[in-house]
Amino acid sequence: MLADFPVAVTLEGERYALIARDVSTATFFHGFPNSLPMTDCFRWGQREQQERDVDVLETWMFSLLPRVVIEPALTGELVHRLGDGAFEGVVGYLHAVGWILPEDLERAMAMEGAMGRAATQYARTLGALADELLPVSVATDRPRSFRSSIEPFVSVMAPNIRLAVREIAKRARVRPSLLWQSSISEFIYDWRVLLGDEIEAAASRGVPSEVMAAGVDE
Amino acid sequence: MQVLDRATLLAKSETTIRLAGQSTEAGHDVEIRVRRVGPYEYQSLLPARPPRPANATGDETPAEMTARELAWVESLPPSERVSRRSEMLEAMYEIVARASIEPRLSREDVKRLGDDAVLLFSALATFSGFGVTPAAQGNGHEAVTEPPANAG
Repeated sequence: MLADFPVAVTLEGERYALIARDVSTATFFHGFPNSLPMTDCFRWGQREQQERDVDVLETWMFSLLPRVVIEPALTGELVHRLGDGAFEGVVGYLHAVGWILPEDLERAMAMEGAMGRAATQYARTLGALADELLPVSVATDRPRSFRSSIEPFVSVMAPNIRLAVREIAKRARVRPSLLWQSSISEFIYDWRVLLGDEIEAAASRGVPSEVMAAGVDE
Repeated sequence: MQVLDRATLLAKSETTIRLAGQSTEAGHDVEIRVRRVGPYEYQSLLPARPPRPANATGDETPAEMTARELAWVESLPPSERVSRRSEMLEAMYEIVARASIEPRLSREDVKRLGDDAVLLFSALATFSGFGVTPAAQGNGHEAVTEPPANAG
């Protein structure tokens, strides 16, 4: 849905752009944890599971940029070389595809540590990015690996992600496989339009959001 | 805004560090070229963090977290403290090895640097943007993964 777009990273005090792509839902969620901190599902879990989910989330965040950035081609080592810029890039990408809303960005800016710094730095960049010309289509004919091109579509989905795909597919009357192949920005948009109001309303009645997303009536 | 290219990323994420002990022995400057390491890259090598208290709110500052973790380490039986210290040292050697570019070092090569290994790690941590207290350099205390005061 989105044309290739720039994501800003700060390196040695200078601002640079990475060119990112609105990748498939499968590619985006590859390696995603089943629950996120501050969600009901996370709070229900045992401490050991919570710690595993946090580890998985951190691993997922640092593996995201090589999957979504098309220029330059990034490896895991190159992402580490970005230092805090890597966090900044992740925040920028998540905001661009609609995963992070303005209120989420404000909350992230208030956090201590690397995430807070990254969100604050990204917020400073936002105004400058808005005026950037979008790049012309970037050719990506470099060799692809099984890991990056096939695995996201055939690996086991986190249960909560599977529930969300199933629920959206049911309401939109489309095959789940089509959703899985659609761009992440489209998936997030569909999620907000088809599930967002109900999840919010349920939350105000005390029904956990994950239960609503599973389509289970309270 | 300039699109980042690979050559710029490599150039801006590398530095050269002088090895004081090796230089003294050799009678001339001995240097090593290293790359920046990500804080998560280093943290992933560290032993498991102490468990968070059941009533944790998630609002803990890094300084509070460090103080809690140090207190937990001090409460461990001596044998576990020794084991943990050993794991921290191995993590230090491993991250220095990963960061080394020229010459390329194995973990065993880093160990042979002796005191230079600790100073090299400290300089690498500073260059990479996370501060490491002297207490964290091998005596079992946790590293402080916060930026130096003058970080941008």
